[in-house]
Amino acid sequence: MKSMTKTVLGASALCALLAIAGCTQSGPNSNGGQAPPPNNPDPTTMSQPTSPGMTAPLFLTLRGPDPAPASGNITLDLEITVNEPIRMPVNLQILLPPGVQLVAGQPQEILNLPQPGKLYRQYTVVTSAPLTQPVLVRANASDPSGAYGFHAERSYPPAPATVIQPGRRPPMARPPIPPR
Amino acid sequence: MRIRWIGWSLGWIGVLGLVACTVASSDENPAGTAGNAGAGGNAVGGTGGDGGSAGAPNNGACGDISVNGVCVDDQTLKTCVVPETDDPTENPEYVVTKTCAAGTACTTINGIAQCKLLGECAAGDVSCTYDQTKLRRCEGTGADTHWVDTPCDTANNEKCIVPKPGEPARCQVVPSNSGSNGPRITGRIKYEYRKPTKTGWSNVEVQDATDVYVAIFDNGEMIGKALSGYDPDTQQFLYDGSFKADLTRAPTDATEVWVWPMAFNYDTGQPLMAVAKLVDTDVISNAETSNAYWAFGTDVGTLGKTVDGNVTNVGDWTITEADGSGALNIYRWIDYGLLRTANGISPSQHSLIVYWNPETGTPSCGACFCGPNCGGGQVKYGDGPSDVDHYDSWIALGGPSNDGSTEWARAVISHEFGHYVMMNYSVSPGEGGPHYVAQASKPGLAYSEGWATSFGMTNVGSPVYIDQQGGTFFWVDLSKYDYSGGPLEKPDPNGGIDQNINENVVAGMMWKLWVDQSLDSDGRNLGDDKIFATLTNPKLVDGTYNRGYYKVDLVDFLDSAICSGSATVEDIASVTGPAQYPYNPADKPCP
Repeated sequence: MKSMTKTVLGASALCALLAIAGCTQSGPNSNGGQAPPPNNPDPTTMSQPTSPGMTAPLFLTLRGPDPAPASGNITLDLEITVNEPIRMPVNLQILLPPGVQLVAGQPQEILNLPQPGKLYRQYTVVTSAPLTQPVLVRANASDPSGAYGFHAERSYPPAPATVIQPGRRPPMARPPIPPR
Repeated sequence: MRIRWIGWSLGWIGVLGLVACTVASSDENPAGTAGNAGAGGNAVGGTGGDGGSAGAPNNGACGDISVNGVCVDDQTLKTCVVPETDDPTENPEYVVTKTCAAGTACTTINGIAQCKLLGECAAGDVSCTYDQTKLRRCEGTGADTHWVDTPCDTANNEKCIVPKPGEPARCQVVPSNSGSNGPRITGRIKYEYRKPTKTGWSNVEVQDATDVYVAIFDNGEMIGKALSGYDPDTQQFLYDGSFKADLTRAPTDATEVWVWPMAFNYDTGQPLMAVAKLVDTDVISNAETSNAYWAFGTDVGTLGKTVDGNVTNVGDWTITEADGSGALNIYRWIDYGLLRTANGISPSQHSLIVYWNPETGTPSCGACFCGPNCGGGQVKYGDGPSDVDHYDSWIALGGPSNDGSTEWARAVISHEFGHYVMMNYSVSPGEGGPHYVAQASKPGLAYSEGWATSFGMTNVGSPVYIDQQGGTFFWVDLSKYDYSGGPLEKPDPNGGIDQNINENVVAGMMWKLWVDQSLDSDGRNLGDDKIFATLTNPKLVDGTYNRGYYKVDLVDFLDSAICSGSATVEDIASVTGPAQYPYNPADKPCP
């Protein structure tokens, strides 16, 4: 069973995230974060990152079994990458479709993320039938003055990218003269 | 803030195109969008003298090759590319070498090295004048190439046409019933799009596609054409998606209707701006290998029709997201910017190609602009040696919907176009390197990025920058000098005028100078006219006003604003004071 992982970043943010992946972080884990999954670096032992490029304040990565089991327990691992100090409370919640119950993990919590770094959460849900709608994990924050904010969301199974249907071939590759 | 504009801080010439309050249009309907932007501007070059701030030797891996490019010899252009990265060891700057195409030579204009046509056209090209009354052949060699026009026999109903793909333009008799009394097809082009919101892209909505090219084909032959939003009967722009095309013969159900997001230069008859397919995430490589324009086609039978005399109406045609309607949304915001600057500064515009294709993925730069110093961009749309369009500059945009759908990110699109404005109309500091949301950058880089962001915000009529990256939507109101990590770092009020400065503080000051108080309570309402006058002031462009930092920067821009009479000392003080920017108008380089 391979891991189902959504693309975390565009190439534009990749360098920044690589830098961040190696960041010092006492902030997020001090907020009750669970132990990171095996093979993930301990965020408390890594060096202080340089400041990232102009990227989103926070990214979510949600991993789970691929394909999704038709029934039974499903364990989902959430990785939260904090790219810059976030001085407002972050509301993290998991949203379940009908017929799915959360058996492990907090359905909602408020995170304090004053430092860049990573933290992790694990959820276990149980379903008696194949998922007809995805499980959603959201992280929201908004400055009361409206100056800034973000909304991060990942789904399990991952939402497919919009597919552009191949269209018919134009009689001309481009029009030869102006339209008027 | 230009979160998406990564890395290729290659030289763009700085034209601060802050557009004014006239820009504050309906959210979904930019004011004044209509008409292919403009006349003038050879598709492969521009004019202008040398000028701009003096450069400085590059001490990195590029050596003496600057981001503005260098003509090594008549045919060889070299440019330094500086990736935006936190790790210059892993992602060092590097030199791109381009060989100028036949009939062009490497030339330095306004400090930007570029391949430019030696003469008026490319020898051997055959085309039609835009009014289709003359056949033009490009004759001569080298710098002597020029168009030679041969009139068609219009008295006997000849027109200049390109009858079929692969065939050269020629004068040909067009059936005499064409024209206002002949067959005509009408309809309305619409497209699906999504609005940016603070929680994500909106659900799909539909709006008119204005200023797009509509072509009618029958049995492979082009039998009519139109510009959406333009009424040929009244010669008025309607700012909608309606079209009227006079045909050389009556349509059938098999007759095809095609739409291209493509604007033309009416002086040269060549494309001025279009959206083409990204074929390679390596943006430098892509600019040489892109091979198709975005185009959308259907047929009359599919659309359905009503017939009234000689007029066939096909009703509304909505191009869907699954068709690739994102290309039309990108076109809309770039086209609007072109129209603003054509009207507000000059109709002389360099050509621009925009690359986008979510099927290919996110460009290596995320989203970026590169000017002529990258050697331009091209679209090789056919197999023939002349089946290639060369553009002076390019923009690359991403990406898949589960990463960041830049096609809906109007602020990002408009930011990149802001770089084009600077390149096209003013002088660029030509300064690259990393730049961050919350950190100060070199003054030249901060000026360039701050300009692009403020232009972009005026293009969309809001100071709120909304983008999506990696599934996260985020927004920043640049008028508040704030971001998620706290207040943006402001300059040291006791520091020098050449100190590093946060680009978003620059953007915020420009925004406040630009707009009126309906958009920002601190707005000074200079508007497009005065901001553009500041940006294009010859003494800013030629370096006369350069002081402080050795490259053109915000200090020079503010000097230009006062010295040109575009702004008062009070205007400037009202934005520099709250930003703690130690600008002293008493030191300005004019009486």
